[in-house]
Amino acid sequence: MDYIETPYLRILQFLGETGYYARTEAEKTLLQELVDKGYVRIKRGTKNVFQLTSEGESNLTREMNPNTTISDREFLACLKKAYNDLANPMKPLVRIPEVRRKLSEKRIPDSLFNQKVLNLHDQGVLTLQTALSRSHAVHGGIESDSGTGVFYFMMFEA
Amino acid sequence: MTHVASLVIENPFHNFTSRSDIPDLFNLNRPNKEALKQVIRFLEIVRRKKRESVVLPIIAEAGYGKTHFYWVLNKTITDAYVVYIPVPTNPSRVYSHFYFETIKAGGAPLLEYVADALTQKYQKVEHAAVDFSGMGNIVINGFFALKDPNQSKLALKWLTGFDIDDDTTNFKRTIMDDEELALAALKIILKVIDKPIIFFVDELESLFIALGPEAELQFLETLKKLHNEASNFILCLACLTTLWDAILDLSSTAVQSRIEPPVLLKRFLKKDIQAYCVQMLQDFHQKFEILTIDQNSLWPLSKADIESAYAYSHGNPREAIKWLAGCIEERKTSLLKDLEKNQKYLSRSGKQIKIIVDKMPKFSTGILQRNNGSLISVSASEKRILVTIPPLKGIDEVFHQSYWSNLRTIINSEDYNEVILIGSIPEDEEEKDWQIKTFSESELKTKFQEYLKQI
Repeated sequence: MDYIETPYLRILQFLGETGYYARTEAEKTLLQELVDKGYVRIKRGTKNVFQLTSEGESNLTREMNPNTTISDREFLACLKKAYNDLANPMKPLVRIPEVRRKLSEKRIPDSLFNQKVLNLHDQGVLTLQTALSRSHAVHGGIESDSGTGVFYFMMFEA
Repeated sequence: MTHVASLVIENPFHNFTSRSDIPDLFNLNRPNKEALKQVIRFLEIVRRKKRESVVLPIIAEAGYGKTHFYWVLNKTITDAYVVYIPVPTNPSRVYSHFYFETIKAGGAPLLEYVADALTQKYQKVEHAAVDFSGMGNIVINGFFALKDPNQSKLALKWLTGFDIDDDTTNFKRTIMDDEELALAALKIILKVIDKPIIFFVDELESLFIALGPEAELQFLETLKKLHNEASNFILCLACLTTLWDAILDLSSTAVQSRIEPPVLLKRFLKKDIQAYCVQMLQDFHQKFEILTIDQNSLWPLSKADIESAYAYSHGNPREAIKWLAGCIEERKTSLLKDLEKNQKYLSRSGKQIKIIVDKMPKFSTGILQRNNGSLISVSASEKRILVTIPPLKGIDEVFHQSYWSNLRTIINSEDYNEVILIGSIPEDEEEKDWQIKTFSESELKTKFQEYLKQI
């Protein structure tokens, strides 16, 4: 479960039988992905109202454990794999939120992910690049600790 | 003599944004080595085939040195012409913009070269007409007219838009009024010119940000036509990472298929920041007359400043330079205060020595006061004596190091009969067997004067 999906599942849980009406195309796409995963279903008789399934419910209760640990070596290997899956020669820099999503099944808390990625950048293992502005990186970027911007892209080169 | 009041110490890091109109002083090799290699590789392909053009994106976040890379190309690449093209403000006037920037970069010699090459090859304009059909014919006429003394002024006005004198002011038309003519002219220049041209299109994302995706799309489609119809050039498209994806996504597959995989500019690592500092501080050292210390000196910065610049900037070159500029400003104020104090002390002591020496018949003095100590040359008949005053105690250690090192060089290279030091030799310097006579400041009037009389 990633940083966008979880809040939606929580809202669906809160709304219960009423369901959530998806207003934008982006929301519809995202909720459709959750339908495909089995966490969400379309409310009977509607097109764009979504309800939480029991599987979604149990996934939500198995929330990300903030004490999850992962060794640096294992994290680097996962990160490299996710990067290689996402990057292509025309787009050698991949979006950090997409990498997060790829690693969602590892259940790495966002703070730990951010810290490990920043460390790898500082060690010169990979390069992070900022978004055009903060508004371009509302979701899933990594706020620079020195306040110079929000990192939104990464690549394995320094 | 250096007066602190007039000592303007420029911050070596004050300029953290590269500009297309001011050449960059220095290039750090590593961060753009790979990108440069790529451009050279494509240039070789274009040069060998002569009928090829390449579209090469250069992507990086803001501050990574995209505009600086233009200067790297401009200064490094000798077997191509490099033309800087800011993104046009109007996406429907691309070719005239490219043409104008090319003429601006090449100037009159470029037009002369093209006109000479055309007239030499074809002799008469009718012969050239076969090779350059359509709009090309009109442009060819313009180039041939440039070689005709009766028409050259008007031709020059038509080709450049500049008025040479009153005769041309009434002639309003120029090649830049017509996009098709400008494209034809570009094609002719590219065909005739002796080396390929690298068009460096900077800030590709500007149109996207200012006018929206449609404008960007229109610009890319226009570039596609240039890529299809002209050859002998590399089109470098410098773009922000964030918008590269968006631009690529909105462009047609026909455009996408013509674009090479992007070249990436690298960030600064700690070693790069250090190398950059060493280079940029050289002039700063000269201003403070720190000439003899370690060549790789970071003074007045320290290793800790490099660390903090890296931590703050996360390797973004512009942010790192900005941080270093702040560090220098902090140090500068205290250094200048130190220097002022030191100069007052040196002046006072120097004046005392001069008064003493001037009272002695047949003695003459020459005073050279520096930031890192004072040197006074005293001459009497055939004797030359060097009287030297070290910097004030308590001022930055680097001035003392520089002073002793400088003194050592002078003593070894100049022929002085005697070296007199006002003050004392530090313990670590004493061990080196200095042949120097010392007097304290309080001994100047008595012992020093007596000593001079004996000479």
